[in-house]
Amino acid sequence: MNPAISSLLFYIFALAALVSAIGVVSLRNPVSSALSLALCFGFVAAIFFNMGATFLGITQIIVYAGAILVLFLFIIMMLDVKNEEHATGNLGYAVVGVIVAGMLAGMISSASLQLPGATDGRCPWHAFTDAFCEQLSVDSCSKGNPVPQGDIQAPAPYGGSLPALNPEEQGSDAKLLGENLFSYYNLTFVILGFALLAGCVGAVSIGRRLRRD
Amino acid sequence: MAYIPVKRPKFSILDRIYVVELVRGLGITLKHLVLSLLGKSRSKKDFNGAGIGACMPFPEQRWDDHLPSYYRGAPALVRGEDGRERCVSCQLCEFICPARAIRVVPGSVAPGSSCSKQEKAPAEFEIDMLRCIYCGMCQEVCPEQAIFLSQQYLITPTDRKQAVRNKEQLYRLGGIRKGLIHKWNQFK
Amino acid sequence: MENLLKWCTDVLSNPTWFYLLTTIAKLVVVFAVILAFVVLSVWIERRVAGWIQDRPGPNRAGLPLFLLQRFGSKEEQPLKNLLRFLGCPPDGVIARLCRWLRFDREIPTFGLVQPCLDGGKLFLKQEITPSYVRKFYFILAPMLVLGPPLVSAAVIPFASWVQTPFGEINMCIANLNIGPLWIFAVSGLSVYGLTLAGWSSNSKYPFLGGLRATAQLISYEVAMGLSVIPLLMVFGTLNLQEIVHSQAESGWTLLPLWGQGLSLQRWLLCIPMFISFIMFATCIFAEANRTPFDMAECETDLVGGYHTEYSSMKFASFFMGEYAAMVIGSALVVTLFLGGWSIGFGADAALASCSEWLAVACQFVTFLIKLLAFIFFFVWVRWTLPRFRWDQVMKLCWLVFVELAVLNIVLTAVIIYFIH
Repeated sequence: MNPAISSLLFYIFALAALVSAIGVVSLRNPVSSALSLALCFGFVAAIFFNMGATFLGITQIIVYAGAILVLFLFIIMMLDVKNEEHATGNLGYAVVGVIVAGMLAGMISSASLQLPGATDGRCPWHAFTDAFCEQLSVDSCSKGNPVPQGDIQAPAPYGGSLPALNPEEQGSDAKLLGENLFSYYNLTFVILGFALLAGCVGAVSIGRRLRRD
Repeated sequence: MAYIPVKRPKFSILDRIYVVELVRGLGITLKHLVLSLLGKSRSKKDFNGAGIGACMPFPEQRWDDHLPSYYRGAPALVRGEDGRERCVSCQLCEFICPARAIRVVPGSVAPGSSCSKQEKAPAEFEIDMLRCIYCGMCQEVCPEQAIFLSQQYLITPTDRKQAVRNKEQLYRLGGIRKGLIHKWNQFK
Repeated sequence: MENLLKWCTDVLSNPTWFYLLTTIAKLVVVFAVILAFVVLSVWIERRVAGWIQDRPGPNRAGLPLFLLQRFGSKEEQPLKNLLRFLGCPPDGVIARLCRWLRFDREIPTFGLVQPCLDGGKLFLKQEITPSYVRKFYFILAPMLVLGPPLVSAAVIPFASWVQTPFGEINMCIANLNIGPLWIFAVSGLSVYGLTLAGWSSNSKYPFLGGLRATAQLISYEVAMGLSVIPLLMVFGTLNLQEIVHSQAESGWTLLPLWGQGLSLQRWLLCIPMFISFIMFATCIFAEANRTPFDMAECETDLVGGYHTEYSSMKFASFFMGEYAAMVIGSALVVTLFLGGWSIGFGADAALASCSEWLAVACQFVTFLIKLLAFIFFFVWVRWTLPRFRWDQVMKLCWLVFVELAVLNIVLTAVIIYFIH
C-alpha cells in the first residue's frame, strides 16, 4: 500500500479508536459503553490490518469483539444493569486512577519518544510524504526492500532487538506469528497459558461452590 | 397427587451416538421426497390428488365424489316432498346461532294455501356467509328439520353483499328433502 | 473509437485502476449471486419442504396471462393463437404438453416468483415499532444481522484466476491469507444483531431468544474453529484460494481420487477429515441459526424469539440475514471440504490449458451447482430433524464437539507425522 495513504489511514483509525474509547467511559448506558468498546476493538483491528498484520487483526475481532465482548453484553443484559445515575465522586479513586493512567501514559510516551524520528519534529506530519517513509523504511513491504532479521530495534529498555515480523516477505503472518510464539517466546507463552488455566480453574471452582449452596 | 414413575426407554450406545438414526431419518424424508416427485405419494387417491405430492391441485381437481359424507358445508333451507316450505320461522336457529349469521323475518302463510295450518313461514331468511362458522347448531336445533348443512364448499363472494344469501338462494341450494313430516299434514 | 480504446487500455494498464475496476466487477457479480441465492434458497426451502411432506409446495405464483388482457390485449388465451401461428394442431402432443405446463393460463415460473412477491409484501406491510422498545438499538439490530454474512462472502473463491494482458485477475474478491478466520470473525459479529434485537425489544420472549443466541453462537464458534484445524493442518495454509487450488490438483478433501490424493496418507486422512466435516457442518447449522439448532427463535417456546417484536422490512432483513448466513455457510463448507470451484479429475488444468476464461466460467458454474446441492442438504436436514432441547444443544457443543475436535487434531497430527 502507498505509505502516505497508510499513514493517513492509521491516523484516521487511531482517532476513531480513541473517540470510541472515550465513549466507553463517558456513555451512561452500559450497553452503549459495551458497544462502543466493540467499535474500539474494530478500529484497533483495522490498524493491525493497515500494518499488514492480518492474522493479529482478525484474532482481535474473533476473540475480543466476537466472544469476550459478547459475554460482557450477555452479563449486562442478564443482570439488567441500569443507567449510571450519578458520577461517583470518591477522591481516593480519582487519585489512584490518575496515578495508574499517568504511569501508563509515561511508559508509552517514553517508548515512542525513543523511536527513530520521534524527537526531531518529523512525526507525525512528515509521515504523509513518500520520501520520509523511504528514509525510515518503515513500510518496507511496499518498497520492496526486506527488513533483515533483527533489524527493527525496540528501544533499549524494552528488550532490544526483536525478531522481524514482515508478513509480505515470509508468506502468511499467521505462520510467522506461530513460529515466533512457539520458539522465541515459548517460555512466556507457556507461563501465560498456565496463568489462564489457573484463572479458568478458579472461576469454575467459585461457580461450583456458589451452586452447591 | 399420585406419583407415577414413567419408564423411559433405554437407549443403546448406537442410538445415543445419534448419527445412525439421523441417517435413517434423512432416508425416510428422502423417500417421501422422491415418491412425491414421482407422483406416487401414499393416500393420493383419497385426496383426489394429481401431480406432485398427495395434494389436490384445487381449481383443476375438485373434491367431487371424494368429499366425505359427513362434510359440513354451507347451510341451506329445504322443502318437503310435498313442495311445502318446511321452515315455520320459529327463529330458534336465529337465536342459537353463535355467530349471529342468521336473520329471519317471520311472515304469515296465506289462509287458503295447502299448508295454512302451520300459519307462519319466513318472509325473509338471510344467512351471512361471512359470519357463518359451519357449526351445524341451526340444523340441530331446528324442530322442523328445515335447515341442513349442505356439502357446498365453494363460497367465494366478491363483495360483502354477495356473501349474504337470501331465501331463494337458500332454497335453491337445499332443494327437496326426502322424508315427510306429518306434523302439519291436515289430512293425516 | 480508437481514442476510446486507447483510453481504456491506458486505464487498465494502470495497476491501481485495474485492481479497482476488477474488484468492483467481482463485487457486483458476487453480491448479485448471493442475493439471488438468498431468494433461491427460500424457494428451495419451501419446495423441498413441500415435497418431503407430500405437498407440491408453492408452485402457483406465475405471471398470469390475464394481465395481458388488462393491458389491452383482446385475446383470451394468447397460447392458442401462438400455437395456431406455429402450425401446431390444437389437441396435439405439443399443445397438450403446453396445457399440462399451464402455459395457457400463465407464464410458469414453478413458484420462483413467490419469494420475490413475499419480499414485496413485506416491504408494503405496516411498520410497527412498539412504544416500549429502545429505539436506536431496535433499528440497528436488523442491519447488524444482514450485514456480516454479505461482508464475509469477500474471501470465498468462486473460480480460479485468469491471466489478462494487464495483469492477473484472481476470482476472489479479497485474496486474504486468513480466509476461514475472516468468515468466522465477521459472521461471529452477527451475534450482536441477535443479542441487541432481543434486548432492545424490551419484552421477555425476545430477551430469552437474544440470550440463547449469544450463548449458542459463542459456544459453537469455539467448536467450529477447533473442528476446522485438522483441515488447515493438511493444507498448511489459511488462504482459501490456495486450499481450493490444492484440492483441484490432488483431490477434494473428502474425495481424494486423483493426483497426489491416491496416497495412503491421504486416504487415512479421510477419517479425521470426515469427522471434521460432520462437526463443521453441524456448527455451521448452529451458527446460521437453522433448525435443529434455532434455539434463538424457537417458536414453540419463545413465540418468535428475538424477532417477535419486529414487523415488515425489519423482520425481512432478519429473515434474509438467516438465509444469507446459510448461503455463506454452505459456500464455506463447499470450499473447504468439497473442492470449492474445482471440477475434479484433472479437468481444471485441461480446461485452463484450452482457455482460461472457459475454465473460469465452468468452475463458476460448478461452484454454484455444489452450493445449490449443499443448500438442498441444509433444507433436507431442517425438515427431517426435530428441534433439540436447549440443554442438549449446549451439551453437544461443550461435551462432545470440543473434545472430539481436540482428539481429531491429535489424530491428524499422528497421521501426518508417521505415515508418508
